[in-house]
Amino acid sequence: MKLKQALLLCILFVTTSLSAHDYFFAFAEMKYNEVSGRIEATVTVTTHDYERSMRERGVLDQEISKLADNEEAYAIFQSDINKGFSMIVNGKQIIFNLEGIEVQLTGLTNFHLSAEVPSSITKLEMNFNLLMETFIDQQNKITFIYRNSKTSYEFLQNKKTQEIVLSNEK
Amino acid sequence: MKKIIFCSFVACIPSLLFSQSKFAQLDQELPTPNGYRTAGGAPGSDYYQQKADYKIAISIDDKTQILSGEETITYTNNSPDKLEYLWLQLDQNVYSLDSDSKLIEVEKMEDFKSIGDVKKKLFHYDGGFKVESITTTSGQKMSYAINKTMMRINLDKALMPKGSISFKIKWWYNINDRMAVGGRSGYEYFEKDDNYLYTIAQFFPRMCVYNDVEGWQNKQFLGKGEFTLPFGDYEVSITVPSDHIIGATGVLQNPNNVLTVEQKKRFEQAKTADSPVVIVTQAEAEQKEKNKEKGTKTWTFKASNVRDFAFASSRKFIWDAMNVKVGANNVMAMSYYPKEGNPLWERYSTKLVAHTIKTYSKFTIDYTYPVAISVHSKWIGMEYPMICFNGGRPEEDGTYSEDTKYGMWGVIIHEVGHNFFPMIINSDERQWSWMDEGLNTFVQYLTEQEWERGYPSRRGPAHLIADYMRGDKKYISPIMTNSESIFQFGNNAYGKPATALNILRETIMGRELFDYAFKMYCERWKFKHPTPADFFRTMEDASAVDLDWFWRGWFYGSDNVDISMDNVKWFQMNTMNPEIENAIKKNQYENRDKGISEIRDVDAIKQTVNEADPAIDDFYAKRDVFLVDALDKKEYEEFMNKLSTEDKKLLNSNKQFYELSFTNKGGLVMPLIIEVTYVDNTTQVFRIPAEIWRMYEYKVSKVFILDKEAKSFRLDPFLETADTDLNNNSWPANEEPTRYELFQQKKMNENPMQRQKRVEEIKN
Repeated sequence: MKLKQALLLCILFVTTSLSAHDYFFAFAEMKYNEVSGRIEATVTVTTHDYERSMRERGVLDQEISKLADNEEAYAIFQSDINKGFSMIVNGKQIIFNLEGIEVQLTGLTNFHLSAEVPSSITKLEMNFNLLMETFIDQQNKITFIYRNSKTSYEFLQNKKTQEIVLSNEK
Repeated sequence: MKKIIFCSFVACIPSLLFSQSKFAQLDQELPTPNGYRTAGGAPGSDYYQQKADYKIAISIDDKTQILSGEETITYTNNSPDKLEYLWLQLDQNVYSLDSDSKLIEVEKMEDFKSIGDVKKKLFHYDGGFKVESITTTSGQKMSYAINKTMMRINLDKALMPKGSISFKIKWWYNINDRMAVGGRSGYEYFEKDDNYLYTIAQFFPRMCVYNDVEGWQNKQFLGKGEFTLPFGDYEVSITVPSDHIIGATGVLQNPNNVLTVEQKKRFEQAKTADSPVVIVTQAEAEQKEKNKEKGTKTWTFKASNVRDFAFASSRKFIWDAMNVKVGANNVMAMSYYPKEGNPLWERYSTKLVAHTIKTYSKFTIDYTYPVAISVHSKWIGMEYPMICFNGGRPEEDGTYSEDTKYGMWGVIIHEVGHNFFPMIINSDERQWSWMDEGLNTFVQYLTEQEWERGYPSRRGPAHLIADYMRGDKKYISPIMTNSESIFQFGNNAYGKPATALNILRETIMGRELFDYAFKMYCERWKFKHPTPADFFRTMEDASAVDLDWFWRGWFYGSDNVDISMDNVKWFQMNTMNPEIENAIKKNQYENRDKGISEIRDVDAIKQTVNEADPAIDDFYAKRDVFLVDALDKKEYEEFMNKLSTEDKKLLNSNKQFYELSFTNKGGLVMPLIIEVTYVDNTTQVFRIPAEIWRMYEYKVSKVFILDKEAKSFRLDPFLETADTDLNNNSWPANEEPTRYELFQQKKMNENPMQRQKRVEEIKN
């Protein structure tokens, strides 16, 4: 079943590209809002890296800025981001709600997300493999803010998952 | 909060437990100066560089997309060494079936999730060089060995100093479909009109650099670390379909053979025009797309003192040009683009080329090449001498988004800027990507800001690099890392060095000192091969600013900037005047915090025993501790008599003392830039050089003596140090909003889709 779905998606394929000047990073800023009981996050990608990845994976073949107002595309973005930026709490994946997309003129795009989490949350597992499928050099990073303290977590091809403990110490 | 200090001198005992590693000089890291490269960072009296001249004839088969060529290389040995063999680069072999580039990819089974992944991994494209022969100019075969992307030619007789040798190479290769295979060069096929657009580079066996630093620079090409090449003179003849237009490194030698009368006339007009003149119009290009010619034409170009040669060829090309005056030089700024690039390209490309070479010339060296060309090439940006291939394509309906426009502007400025780094200031890209990408990105930022006020530059301002610099140091490479081993190439080789230079210019050195030293580096090393040490040394030597700590922290290290303002203590001068000081004490006593029982007892206890019985209170109970008595006055008078007029003035000046404590949490030392806001809402900025950390690398304090009472302090108020945590930069504490919170603050009550629906309703 999975293979069938993949076959439908994979219209395009491209070998490992040697083109110059790609950027290969995504950053996320996450914060546990204790008042609302939600994890709030902003995932920042290089726009043309993400567009290229969407194109090569056969997901979408248009600029993000042209699609950000499109209801159908919005759902695709939400699904795609949740695949590359997924959160597991108590063994269950919590789906992020995509609340907004900001395509910046600097060449970066912000995806603003939030998700409700159990009030007893003490730790969460993050898988941040966004764009790693397309770019072998992709390296991602989360900066997690908890009670005014910031901690960073790196994600690489051989380290796509990290446990984040909600404390002021890493 | 308020504390009282006494007029006394306190002897400070410095801690013996300090280290000065962050400020240690770079003696061990830098190579020993010598006759080739001086301690001041300039070329030495023995400096030499090799020369490689090329005479090349190639042809492109538009049906098979095969490039065939023959070249005669004349190599001159200006070194003091005898050379038993020569090394050439076969960069196209990165597409050979046995290329290491794919073999060294790290893989896991989870990478094979779909049939597309499997196809991608099994896809093989044979794009390597097929070397047919290598001979002397008289036709004798020469012995050679190919090691992946490098080729050694074995010389029967060593090439002696000042000697030169000429030899011939014949080869061919399959040009890569850039849209499918990727790559810096290749072809794009336009299915709608059945035409090709070729952007061709690394297409011929090229001499390696031989120098005093590495001997032969024959490090394999793996894909990231780009090219390092000797200067030389080129004569290149290119045979293509007769209706093609070619843009190339150098000057066209045979316009009479390849251009129409009308095209030549327009080209002549462009030579003196201060805005773009269209040499081949869109209508003419579209006509050629439909009616393809069958014959071929040969275009010949010559280029002097360049390190490489590239070109673009297509019948789809629209071509425009204008003159740019740079110093005493007239430069032709030109663009070649298919109709798919319009309307963006006809409007901006050539003007951006002109602006870029003018602005770079101001900050570096005068551009001395005769042409500067921008070619439209979908999705990529890649640079060669005098010519570059740039993305930025509008939609098929001719519309484009604002980010596409800025993307196109940025890539053209960047790639044209590469003419300076590394095409003229010819650093070793295979070894140090930052020396061209970083320096170029820095000047790109300056150029963008002169193109449009408030240009949304991606890189340059310090705060934009903070995300990259924070986190686990294991996964952040120092800038001084070989090009192939860098984590996060874009941020490491482009963003961080560009930011570092901007910080040097704005914060550490100041614009005047920086600009002079930076220009000096460019002047010293134009048309030469600089190394990192030459750059570091020149920047110090020409400015009298010891920057070893900066190079060590920003270029040799992976620490980040996170300086926290831990504490602010407020003091005022003790006037020693009992009338004033006792009044303050009395006021403090009366306004002290009172316990709940004390407050309630005021009303609850109508009368205490001592209030009812006067005999209870003794001397101590009756004494007014705040009363100024004769002895207090006498002692004050004696104290004042000992002071000079100046001392008295200072004592009565009402100075406010603030002791600020800082912790260097990130490890990277930086200046302390502190903005104080006074109670009257005026502000003042203090700049403390980074050397404050030289003895105490992790904790320092500083006393600020102010004329007015302060309301708040803020560290790095202009976001100029790349501080990765702004939440610990303020007193009183101030938590910076997250990006999500900022988004929520500015978000409209309706989402973009709801707004769009309302727009549609108005339309209907």
